[in-house]
Amino acid sequence: MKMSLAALAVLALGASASLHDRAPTTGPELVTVSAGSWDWRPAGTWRQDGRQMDPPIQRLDATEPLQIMRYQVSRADYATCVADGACIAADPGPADEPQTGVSWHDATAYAAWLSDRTGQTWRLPTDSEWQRAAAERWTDDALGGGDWTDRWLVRYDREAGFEKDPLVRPQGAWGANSHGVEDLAGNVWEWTDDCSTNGTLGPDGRPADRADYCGARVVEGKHRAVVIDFVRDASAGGCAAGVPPDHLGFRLVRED
Amino acid sequence: MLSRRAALMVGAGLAAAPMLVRTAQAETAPMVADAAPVDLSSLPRIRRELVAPPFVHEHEQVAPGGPRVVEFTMDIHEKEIQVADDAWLQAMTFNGSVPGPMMVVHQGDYVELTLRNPPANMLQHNIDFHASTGALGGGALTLINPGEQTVLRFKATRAGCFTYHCAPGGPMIPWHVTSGMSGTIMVLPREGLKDQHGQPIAYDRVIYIGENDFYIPRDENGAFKRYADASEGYEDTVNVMNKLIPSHVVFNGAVGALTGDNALTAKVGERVLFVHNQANRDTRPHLIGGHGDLVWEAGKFDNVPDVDLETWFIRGGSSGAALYKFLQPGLYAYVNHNLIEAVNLGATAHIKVEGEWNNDLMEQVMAPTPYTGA
Repeated sequence: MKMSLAALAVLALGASASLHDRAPTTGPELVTVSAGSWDWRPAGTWRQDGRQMDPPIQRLDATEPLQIMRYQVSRADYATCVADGACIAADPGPADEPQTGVSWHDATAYAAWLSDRTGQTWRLPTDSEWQRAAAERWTDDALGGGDWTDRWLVRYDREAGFEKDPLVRPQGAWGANSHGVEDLAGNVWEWTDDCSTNGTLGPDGRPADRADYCGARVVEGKHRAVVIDFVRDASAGGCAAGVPPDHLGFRLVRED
Repeated sequence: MLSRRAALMVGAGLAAAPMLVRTAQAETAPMVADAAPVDLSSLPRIRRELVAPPFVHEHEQVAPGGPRVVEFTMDIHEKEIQVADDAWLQAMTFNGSVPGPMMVVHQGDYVELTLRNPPANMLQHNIDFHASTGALGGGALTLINPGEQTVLRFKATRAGCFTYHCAPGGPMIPWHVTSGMSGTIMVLPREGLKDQHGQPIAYDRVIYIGENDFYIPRDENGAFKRYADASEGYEDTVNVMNKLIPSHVVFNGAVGALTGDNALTAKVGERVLFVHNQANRDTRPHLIGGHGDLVWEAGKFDNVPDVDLETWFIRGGSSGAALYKFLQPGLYAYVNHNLIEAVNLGATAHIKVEGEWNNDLMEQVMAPTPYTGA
């Protein structure tokens, strides 16, 4: 059964004195992605011998399962954090929609609050974890060979090819992937904890050296993008940056 | 409450043609002035089919012969358009597009426009050509009700890009213009364009940009309001207009009309003539990564063009032109260089340019590497 945090909060308010006598809340509904391997292509700008290149796909293997929220954090869930004074109010809207208009800092504050509330460890996924959970919903963004201007135009065309469909829908409207994770790559992009990266590839084509800038983070959705961490609405775009995310939201993973 | 459309229908007693109460006639005789008649019957006539922006109908850059009568037909459409993801406008349009289609003739030609106001419309419209002489630019001779049409002829005596717009009187004027009713007519010199030295110069293509400032009202929650028809939104819209702060500043009628899927294309070595119309408000185009090789800032081709401009100024109520030969491949952004208006309010177009990169013009000498300063 799916029970939102807001509903839990209502229960908690109704019995606040006895909160700690009750069975511990289970927190938001999770999907367990079982241990195993998945393909990952690092985000960022990579060069080899001075030329921009795609880093090769890496086959990663995890011995532990991944616990990730089935749904993006809803407006109702987020409102509970706001009501607790631990989150800053974000875009209003129907309670059963994903919370939009949140920055990386907002998402991180929510994770800290949820960890505090549940006694568990919640955090944003890494980009690699997101790809692991997203499985077939992850869109590879390799640009292929050619000069950097060719790659630039390939990327622009690819992003422009995604249908623009910015109307926010209720949770579940975009359906589940093969792991049962809902709404991946809909029109609400999700913050990850990965920083913006410039790197070089070694002779074997593998990342050899990287410099991270953590004032910008990777967001995942129909396509990957890098967004400044305090931005809540990246949809303006406009300059030569490509096609921007429609909305910014998030989901968390639980560390066990 | 009775909608305006319903009220008009009751008043007219005709469901099909709400405002055309006059008995339909095949043709109404033109207004006769005590003026010497003009006989243009010996001139050749050519009919041009208008195409939607950012494109331009087929035309010659150098006139193939003597003056002609160039015939155009435009239907006015009142229709709702989507201006942004969350904003709609009850637009008024020349020929269904914002901006209205670009018309091209040569200096000395006669423009003969059939302007039609279909019965489904609810408002009076007309057209004021800045390229024409007299009668409020033709506005005084072209006011038509829904269900009417009229024909105006004027001589294109001056060369240049000129704005045209609807101007149906009083407070209707700014409202119709900021609802989308403007466009450009380009009157080319008969011998074509000339550079700063007077040497002939040609373009490979025209990119026609119409910039609009829209004033869309918001509700108490800050969401953009949507109206059943243009008249329903009039009062609210005028209140926003009179504060002079646009809700949107866009190219070709909508945020994203010329980006993403709709981005423009060109090739290295191609000469593109950017024609920019703004009927209501000053603007300042800039091509990020490029220049204006030859710029007729005020749009009028008998003036010597400016060269090598970075940004040029389009006066509200005019059309300007800038010629640029693309020298590098990649993505270019053509913007209103008030960057708030470009990025946040919508006034951006993208041009995807294919070709070979020139390292002599630019090269990244060192990729981003760790800082080694003191």
